[in-house]
Amino acid sequence: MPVGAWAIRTRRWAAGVLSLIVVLAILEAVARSGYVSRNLFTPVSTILRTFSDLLVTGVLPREMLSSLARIGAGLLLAIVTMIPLGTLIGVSRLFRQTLLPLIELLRPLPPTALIPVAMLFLGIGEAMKISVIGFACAFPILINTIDGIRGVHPTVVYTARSFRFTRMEMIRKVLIPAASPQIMTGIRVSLPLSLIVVILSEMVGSVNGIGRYILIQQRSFNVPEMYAGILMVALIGYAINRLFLLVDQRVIVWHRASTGNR
Amino acid sequence: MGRTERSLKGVILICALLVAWEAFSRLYSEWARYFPPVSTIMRKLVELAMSREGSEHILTSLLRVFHGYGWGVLAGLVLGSISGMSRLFYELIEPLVELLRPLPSVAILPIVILFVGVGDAMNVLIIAYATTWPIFINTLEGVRGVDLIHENTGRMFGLRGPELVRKVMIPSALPFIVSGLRVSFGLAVVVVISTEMVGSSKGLGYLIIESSLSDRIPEMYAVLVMIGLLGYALNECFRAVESRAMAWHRGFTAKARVF
Repeated sequence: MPVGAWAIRTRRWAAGVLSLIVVLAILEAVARSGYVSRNLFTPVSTILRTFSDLLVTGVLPREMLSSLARIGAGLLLAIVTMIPLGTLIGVSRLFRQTLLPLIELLRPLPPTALIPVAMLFLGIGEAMKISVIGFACAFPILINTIDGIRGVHPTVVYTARSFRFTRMEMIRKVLIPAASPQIMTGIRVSLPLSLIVVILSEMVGSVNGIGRYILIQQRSFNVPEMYAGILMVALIGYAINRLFLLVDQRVIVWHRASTGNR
Repeated sequence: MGRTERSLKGVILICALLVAWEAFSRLYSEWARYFPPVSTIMRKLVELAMSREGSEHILTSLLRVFHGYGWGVLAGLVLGSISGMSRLFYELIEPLVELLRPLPSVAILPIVILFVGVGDAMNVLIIAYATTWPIFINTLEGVRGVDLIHENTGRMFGLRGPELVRKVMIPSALPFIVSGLRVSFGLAVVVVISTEMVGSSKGLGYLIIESSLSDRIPEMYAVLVMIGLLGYALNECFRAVESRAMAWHRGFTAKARVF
């Protein structure tokens, strides 16, 4: 790496950290000045202390893990059902004509609106949350799979046909790999939605999970604990985002290599 | 997805499903509690839409969507275009943005309730927060991504200052901005329903959770249909405006297809 690039990166990093420290210092000063009630606005230092206490005692990790497990299960459910369905709809005109109107009818439904319906059928257990998360993730993954499959360049398909690929081979070796960047986009789009759904469903009906934890702390006026819980969600959200970008970049690099685009 | 290749098959499937639902709930009355007949749901839907109370709930949610979205658009556009034009400004706010952006809007619900209580202000604030981010990011990308050749060509033809912004920067960033606006608009509908479930005594989100908890099942389904219709109608409105405003851009995005 040239020295110039390194210097620029360091400067960017320093500017960012410095501005973050300034913002936190201002928040701390405002909280300590007493202009805003301490019950609403906790000093940053107190939040951080509460956060580390709750982290060490395992309260926050436990609540967060149960929420993450729900997201994982719901996302997995959506992936294993929607990628095959999307592929089928992508390649078959009959499936497309039959199913697209139904999909377009259900798509504008906000996934969280299904929480009350799912509660009616499944109570407030795991199945309720996982199924609503699955529903929320289903549409971005499905739509992107369909678009990805249909967007495969005609030359690629004709080449595979002239090599006498069977239908299965065409799907497995040509279409899904070619559509994978867009399928990944679908999964990435569905992640923030799944976070919204899991937190809301835990607020509305649950016995544990980070969403319920935050709301309960607010209702019992444990304000530092509430902020600590939200900080936890922010950090996890950030980590998920970062992790996904990393995976995404790998897929994209492979894809670029295979299509010869730079 | 092609809108031209619609055929009757899809409509037939939807009708068949509705008829099957109706028949099922009439034949197996022990299940009718969970699956009230479609006709009952539809009657309830009409009743709800006609009643004063029902239309008040709809109007409340709609107003909150537009109100919150408006603030989100304003904040996203202003922050995004400043960040796009000034690298220093973006570097200063970047860590904060990166920390706040992945934070799901409903997670800040308890904080907002703490400060402003439940009601209109709370819902509007959270919608504004949620809708700001996609617009911010897309505006930033759009402004940053202005082709240097386009910019310099504009300069060469003597455009400068506001004229350069109006004739080169805005048209070139607009497709990005519009896609941010579209994502945010969809998000606003999701968020309004979500926040109303936890902190409101009005609006469609409140109505659906309330009817589910107090066992008014046909009403719950009716509200669900209404929310779906609302989402659909808002989406169509957005598309209509977009296809008018962005007609000049359509030629760029046409794609070759085999299937």
